[in-house]
Amino acid sequence: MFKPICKKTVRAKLIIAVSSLIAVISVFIYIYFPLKLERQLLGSMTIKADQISRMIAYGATPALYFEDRDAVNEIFGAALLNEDLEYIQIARRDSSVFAELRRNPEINYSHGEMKKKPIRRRYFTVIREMGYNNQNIGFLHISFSMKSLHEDVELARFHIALISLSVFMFGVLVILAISRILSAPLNRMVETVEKIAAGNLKERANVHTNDEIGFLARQFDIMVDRLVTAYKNLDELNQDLEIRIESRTAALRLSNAQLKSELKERKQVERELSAERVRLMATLSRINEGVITTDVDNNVSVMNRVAAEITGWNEIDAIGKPIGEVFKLPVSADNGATVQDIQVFLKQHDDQENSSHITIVDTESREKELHINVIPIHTLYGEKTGTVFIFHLWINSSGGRDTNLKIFHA
Amino acid sequence: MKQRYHKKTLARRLIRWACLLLLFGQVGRAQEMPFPLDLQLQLFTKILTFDKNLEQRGGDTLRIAVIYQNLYRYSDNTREVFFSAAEEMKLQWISGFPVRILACDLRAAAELREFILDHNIDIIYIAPLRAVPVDALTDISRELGVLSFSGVTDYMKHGVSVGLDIKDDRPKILINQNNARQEGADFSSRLLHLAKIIN
Repeated sequence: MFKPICKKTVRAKLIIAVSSLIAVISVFIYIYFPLKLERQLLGSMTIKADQISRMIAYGATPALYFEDRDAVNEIFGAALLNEDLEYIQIARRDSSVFAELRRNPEINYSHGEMKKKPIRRRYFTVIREMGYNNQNIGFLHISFSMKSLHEDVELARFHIALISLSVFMFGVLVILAISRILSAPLNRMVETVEKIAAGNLKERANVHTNDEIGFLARQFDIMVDRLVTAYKNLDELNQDLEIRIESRTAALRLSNAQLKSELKERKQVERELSAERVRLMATLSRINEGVITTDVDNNVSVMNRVAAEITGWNEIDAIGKPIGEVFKLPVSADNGATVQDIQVFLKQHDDQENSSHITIVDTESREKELHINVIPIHTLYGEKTGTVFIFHLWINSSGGRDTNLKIFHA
Repeated sequence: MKQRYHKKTLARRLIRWACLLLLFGQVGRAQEMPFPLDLQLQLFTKILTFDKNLEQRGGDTLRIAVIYQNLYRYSDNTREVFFSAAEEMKLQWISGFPVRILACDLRAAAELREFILDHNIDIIYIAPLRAVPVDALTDISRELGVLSFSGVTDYMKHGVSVGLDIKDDRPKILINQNNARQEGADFSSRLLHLAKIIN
């Protein structure tokens, strides 16, 4: 039911809603007020009939009691001055009629109409008991014509219908005008939104009313201004970012080229170092002295063949082992060696070239006495990079052989 | 002896006066009029307007006779005040009929008949009377169709048609409806409704 209405514009909805409301109010006015008037008139008629019947009964009661027909005629004559009074009947207690007055003899004023609603009756009838000296002596039956009441009601209904129609027409005109005033800024906003959605960010609502819609339009314009500013900032950021990316890319390319160059150089150096190492190892292998080099942590880095034969270690297995493990000293050695522990020795003579006798236990648990030269290796800048141990089996004067001390500089 | 005689005479006189006072005191009370005469006259003229037969009764002039006794001071005073009140009220018309008021000094009841017939009287007002039976007067009035009024409440018992009384400080009209009808009056129910009906 509401779907078709939901599809309408705000103006149409407003017109439909308020017109419906005004229509309901008009119908209410048309129905309620005549009813109210009818009730009020009926109430007035009831009061009037009651009062008139009381007045008539006041005079008619003694007239009935004293059978005074002249008085009754006087009463009837006075009652006829009331144009609405149609019928009067004064009846005795035994229902016999004492006096009767009919304004229109052809009309029957019986109780036939009593089944109708009071307001729909042609006559308003009052029946009153007539009492004299606390004794019921008869009944007074009075009927009033409701023609004038109905005419008044019809006239009022006609006037109220005109008023209702006028209210409805005027209300519709007013709501048309109001809806136009209210919907114009909204329509302007809708047009603006459509243009902005189509990409025209220069469009503005430009509604200058001081109501909520004006406030909304102003805020909308501000929002669009901010949107435009945000777009501009975003463009600038995009441009900056592109420039940055390009410069960064160029820098990366440069550093890549440098790295490639460095890598090439490094490979060249490695190749040279490897060749140098091969040459060194070839040289070391032809030397009759045992040679062991350690790194800065005193782990074995190079061992030549003679050193392997003396210590009993495999040349490859010894690589990376601590020097103390390769030069293993006897448990309780008192073999005249000056150095008890090679590590202690190295600590004592950290940066000094030294030669000494030492007894070691080879891998087959044979004790061997060595003459050993310990030479620290320094870079050209004096930084220690390792140690060279050059040694040979020591043979004393009785049969041993002496050692030749050599110093290596890395 | 002479002094003794005087004493006896004085005692006799005193007793005689006392008896007279007792006698006339009782009579006075029975003939008491609770209403001032001017008010009585106003009410009676108003009551007459409710008589539907007034037109037949009146003819060209409405004649009212005040029945009184010249030798009875109270009665005579009543007559005098009645006339002066009528004069003050300028009582000349009742319901469109010219009014003529006559005084009838009554010594015997029979004189009333003659007076009524001679003067064509329509209404009689009976002032306080002494030694005249009111019943006889009302018999005549009924016979001749003359409406009888009286300010003496007690006379209602003797057949007067219209009288006045005071009850709870309010005036009360007393109407003997049967007698009134016999006297040719036909009072409106509006009056009867307000009056106390005595039958």
